[in-house]
Amino acid sequence: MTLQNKTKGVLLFAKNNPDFNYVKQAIVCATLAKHYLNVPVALVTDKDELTDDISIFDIVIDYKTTVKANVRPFYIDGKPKRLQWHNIDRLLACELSPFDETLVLDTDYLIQNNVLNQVWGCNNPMLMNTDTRLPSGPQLHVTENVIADGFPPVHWFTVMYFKKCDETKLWFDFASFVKENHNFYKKVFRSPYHYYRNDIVAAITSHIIGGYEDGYMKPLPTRQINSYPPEQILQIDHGKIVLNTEEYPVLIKDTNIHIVNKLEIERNFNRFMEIYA
Amino acid sequence: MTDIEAVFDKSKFNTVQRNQITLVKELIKEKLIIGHLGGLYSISSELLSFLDLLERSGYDNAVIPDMNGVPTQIDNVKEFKETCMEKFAQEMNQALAEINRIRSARTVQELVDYDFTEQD
Repeated sequence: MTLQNKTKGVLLFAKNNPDFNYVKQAIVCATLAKHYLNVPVALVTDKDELTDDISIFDIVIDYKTTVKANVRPFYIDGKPKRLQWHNIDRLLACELSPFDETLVLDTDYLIQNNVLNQVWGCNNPMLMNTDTRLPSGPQLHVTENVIADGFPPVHWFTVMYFKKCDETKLWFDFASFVKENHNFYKKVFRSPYHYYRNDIVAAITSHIIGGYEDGYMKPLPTRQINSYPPEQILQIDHGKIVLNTEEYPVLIKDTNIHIVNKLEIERNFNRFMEIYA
Repeated sequence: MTDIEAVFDKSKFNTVQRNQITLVKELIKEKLIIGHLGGLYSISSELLSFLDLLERSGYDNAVIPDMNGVPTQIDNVKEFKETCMEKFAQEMNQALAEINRIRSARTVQELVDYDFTEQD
């Protein structure tokens, strides 16, 4: 198969919980991805639970999870809450993806430029960011930079590029093994997170497969900018989002952004659709 | 004596302005990454000069390391140089317009107002 006729596309996972409508977020994410990247988008979801119109997706993969939801703390309206988090099947991305080359995105990742199109046909089997920043400056939350002395850098599963090949399959298979033995590995690597995180599993997997050294996973061409709660979206226009951060307002222009405060995407759903749909 | 509130306002303005300029500088680097025949290259004056040197030295094709240090074949040096040059010029022009917009702003409101354009 030549480079030209390899299929490529975006893959999203969405399973709603009582607090977040992930399918609605996925619709926004897919709309922006199609607008800027012009590639097909596939959604992995439980079709029996669908309540929203999912005609935006080119492929819908019905998947019924058999795994119990992860539970992790999250801030909603400034108050801590323990939420259900259905991220455990993410490691099936390689198996479930209908594409030869895939960009797996979190549903709360908003694309505002076409830079990710540069990854298609890349020599590296996988790409994922290990550096991160906040909209208003560098990432100061130390556990997001370096978990503990000697811990491999957190791998941001928010965006991942992979192409189907033996090396990618090996990485995902081993990541599943790390997930199954998460309690053991989180102690060995002294992770301070008591709950499960795919980002941590990815970091441990790359560290071990890379010969117990960092640098196995190469970065994406885009930056990883994380906007955490209680940051809010003030304004939206084509390729532009103004955020109200704790410090000051920030204009995010032509730049992709990870809106961890997912409710903001749901709250502005109509505005996103008005501009991009 | 200068009004103390004016000093803090100026400080806040400078902070927001610096952050917006930093975001633009980072965006330039991001947009100057180009994927070519499996390699990911960061277009810089160094890459452009090297491609020009290869072309003027008579190399139609060459192997050069990409941004991850992986040696990658360039089948048509002239064509790749022209693509890189065009992208470099386009992104730099856009970046200049954005930097000028930020520098023209006089308030925090104008700094984050995407409809605010550079004044004559």
